[in-house]
Amino acid sequence: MTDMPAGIDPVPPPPELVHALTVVLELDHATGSLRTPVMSSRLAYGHIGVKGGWFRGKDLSGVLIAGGGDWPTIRDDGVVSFDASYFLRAQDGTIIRLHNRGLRFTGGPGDAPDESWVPGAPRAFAETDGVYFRTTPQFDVEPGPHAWLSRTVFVGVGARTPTGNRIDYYAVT
Amino acid sequence: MTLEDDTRPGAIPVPSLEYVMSVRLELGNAFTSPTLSSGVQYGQVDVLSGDFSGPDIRGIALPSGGDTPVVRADGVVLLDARYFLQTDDGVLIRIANRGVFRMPSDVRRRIDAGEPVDPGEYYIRTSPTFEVPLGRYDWLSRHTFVGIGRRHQTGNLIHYYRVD
Repeated sequence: MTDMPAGIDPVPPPPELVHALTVVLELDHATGSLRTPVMSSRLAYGHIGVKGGWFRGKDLSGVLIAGGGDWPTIRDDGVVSFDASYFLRAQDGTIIRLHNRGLRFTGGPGDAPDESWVPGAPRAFAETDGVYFRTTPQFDVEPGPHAWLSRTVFVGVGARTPTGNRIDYYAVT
Repeated sequence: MTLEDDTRPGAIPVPSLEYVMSVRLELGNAFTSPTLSSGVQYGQVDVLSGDFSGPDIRGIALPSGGDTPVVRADGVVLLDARYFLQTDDGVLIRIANRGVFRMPSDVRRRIDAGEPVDPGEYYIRTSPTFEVPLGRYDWLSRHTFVGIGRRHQTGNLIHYYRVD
């Protein structure tokens, strides 16, 4: 165990991550990206639209509302820093805004999971090997049974699919 | 020079606005959320198509993004749009356009119904930033601009002025 400065208790165990929901996005990759040598040598901006999709979790499922998408910045070091915004509509009609920021690059320290625990989920590409695709989402939800989503911190683990991507969200307990 | 001299009107030149272009957008997939836990409504709308022209620049708007506005409790909409323009000589320009949109609900209803509305009945003003490759249009990323918008039934028209 690491020595701690005086007055600091031993490091607490890490918080438990509990799966909350999985979001499968159908994306429109049609639009390109812009490299702007004005800013730096390789910095580029892109856009990917949300065409649709679905999500499922405990006591929670529904569909994606078409529109919105991701406005990524491709950094000089090749890391894609994404900034996505779109809406989910739960089966009970609740509207959920998902603002999802994160990183994706190859050669990362972790592999994205590839299990298809949800029936009908597309299999992820084999590209998950060595890809780091992690997100820090913020959910903003109508008052009601799902409002806990906007009072909880989550981490997301993503994988590309043939038609978009899949991100598993875990609540930080 | 004393501080008094420095604070006289005109001690710093009054900025002037030089017209550079008008961007016309057709918009779709509009959605506005109910009021969420944060206390505001969020919206989204996609750029479907468009074009732009000015004295030294013209081209099209690519279906490449849109607006993700915030609707405040007082009804004011804070615009936050991001999309791409492409000039007729093939240069991609990324515009990030933040602004203020105020429109009484009856004015919005009349515009949605296609009725003529005096632009003085609402307020659309923006402060865009442009990302442009080095070259003919890089002046766009070296200046400040203001935009003045007009809303119509299926989209909008924004006139851009360079702050000189």
